Amino acid sequence: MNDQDPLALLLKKWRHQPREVPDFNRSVWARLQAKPATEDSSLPGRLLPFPLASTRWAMSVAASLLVLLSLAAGSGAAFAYESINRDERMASAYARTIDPLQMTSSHAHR
Amino acid sequence: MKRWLWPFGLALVAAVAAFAITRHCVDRSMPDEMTWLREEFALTPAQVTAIEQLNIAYEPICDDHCQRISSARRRLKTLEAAPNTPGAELAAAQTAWQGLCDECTTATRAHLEAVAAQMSPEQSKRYLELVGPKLTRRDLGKPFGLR
Repeated sequence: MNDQDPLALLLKKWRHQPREVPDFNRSVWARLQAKPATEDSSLPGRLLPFPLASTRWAMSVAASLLVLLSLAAGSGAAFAYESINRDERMASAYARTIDPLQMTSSHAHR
Repeated sequence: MKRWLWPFGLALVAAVAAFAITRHCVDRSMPDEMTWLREEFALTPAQVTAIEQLNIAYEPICDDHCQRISSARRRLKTLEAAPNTPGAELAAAQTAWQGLCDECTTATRAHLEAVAAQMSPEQSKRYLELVGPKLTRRDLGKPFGLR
């Protein structure tokens, strides 16, 4: 952008003139009085202790904890499921290796 | 309100993914059948050797049964699919199929019992109770996919 550029010249000359709003202050106060501040009714505000609920990271911390707990719960459930069914599944797999009717039905062979 | 929904959605997805991945990993770490047999029924080295010998002896019998079952199944399918198969021929093939199923289930059961006989009485009972019901039962020995 050089000094001869019409846009550059125009921008140099341009000054913002905010529009006067005569009752701006009054209208702001009127809106504040119409809806006064209340206690934090959000979920973390109600569930978490004040210092944690008031931090800007409360949402991120709670979401991260929730995801970590879910990961642990998912893995735990899978381990429990596998340990409960392990013998049955291994017995089925073993039976398939000695039973020709099952072998030929699944196209598998020892 | 929607702002509070996405962590729960993400948590649900994480839990399902963790479940699936863990199951996949556990599946991959499953032992082979002989290792499972040795560990589950606390087999001694002598018992393992004896069972391996039984498996080696059973293998050609099993191979023979597999081949005969496959060809009998194919034959039955062909006969059932053909519109003008004589009833007597179809009945003969079905009878042969039932006879073959009987022979296979008897041989499999005999092998199962021979393996069980190598174990201690308590483990033998457990083995038969656990594996016995997993074998094809005679009444289920119908050709798969056939009406």
